Amino acid sequence: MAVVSSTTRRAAFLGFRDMLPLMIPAFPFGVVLGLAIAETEFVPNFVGWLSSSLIFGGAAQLTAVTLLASGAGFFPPLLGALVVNVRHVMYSAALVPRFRQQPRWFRWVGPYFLLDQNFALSSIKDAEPAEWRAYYLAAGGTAWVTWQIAVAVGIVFGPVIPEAIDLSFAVPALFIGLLVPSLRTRPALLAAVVGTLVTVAFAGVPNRGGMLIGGVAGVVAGTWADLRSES
Amino acid sequence: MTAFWVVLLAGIGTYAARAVFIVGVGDRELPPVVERGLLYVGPAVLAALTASLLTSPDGVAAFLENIPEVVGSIVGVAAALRFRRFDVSFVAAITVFFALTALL
Repeated sequence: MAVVSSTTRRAAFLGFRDMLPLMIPAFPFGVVLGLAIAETEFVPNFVGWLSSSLIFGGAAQLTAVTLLASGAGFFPPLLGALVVNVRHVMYSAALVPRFRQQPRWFRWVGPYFLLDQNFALSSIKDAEPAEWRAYYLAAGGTAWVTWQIAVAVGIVFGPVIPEAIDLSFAVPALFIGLLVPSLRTRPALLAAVVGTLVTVAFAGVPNRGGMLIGGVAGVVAGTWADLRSES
Repeated sequence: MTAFWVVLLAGIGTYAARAVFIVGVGDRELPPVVERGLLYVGPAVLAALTASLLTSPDGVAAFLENIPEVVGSIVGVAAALRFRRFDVSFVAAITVFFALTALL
């Protein structure tokens, strides 16, 4: 086993340091997710907490939990979570050049830590393969530990909150905050608007089927607008 | 048990999405249309989910009668547009929601 060089250690420290500020907004997000888990009888607390290590993606976890909580059965929560996380395919494709010079074990372990924040940091980080690996793992590990704690805090404190406080609006409020700042282009805006309107139009479809119809319509609209603006 | 299987399978699917190019497919690139489409999955699905949480299954009319939710949503969108930060938007929306719930 090679001695860990000081530059590698330095890279790991930088990964930790760069991830910390990104965890400031993530922490309350995790707490709200924990509260949502604690609130519903459809998701046992332990299973809800387990989602933080198995799925390790806040928006998808919240999607799965809220859809399970609304009694939507098996497929809508699963499909919802998977669709929300399909964006990671893009990250995976974008990081292929970085991972090409990495050892095999890391090509298998690395993707687990490929959350939004780590993609944002690591995709622009220039470093030698060993240092890049240390940076990536330290950043991802920092996010992982923070996330497990945040969700646990929400689950633990959820039952302490009085029944009179209505938390049902917390989840949509969180999604609004995540969604709106990400709408930086016209096609993205169109995708969101069409997604909203079509979902509302199909609000009566059971098991939140309207959401899936709206989501597909939004993707089609956004892609169409994107391709059209180019030609 | 339903929740456990959803979490487990969603976890496997998420890992697969993150690993597909890094582990397996190597150099191959995505078809351009797919790559474009993936850009809009996030906005479309998050919007659809938010709309669904607010309006399903009772419909738009029921949502519009819920003044705290309507005003809270508008304030959340406005704060997100102004500050471009999800934590600011969330706190603003939820504060307005609780204030109006208490008042009305």
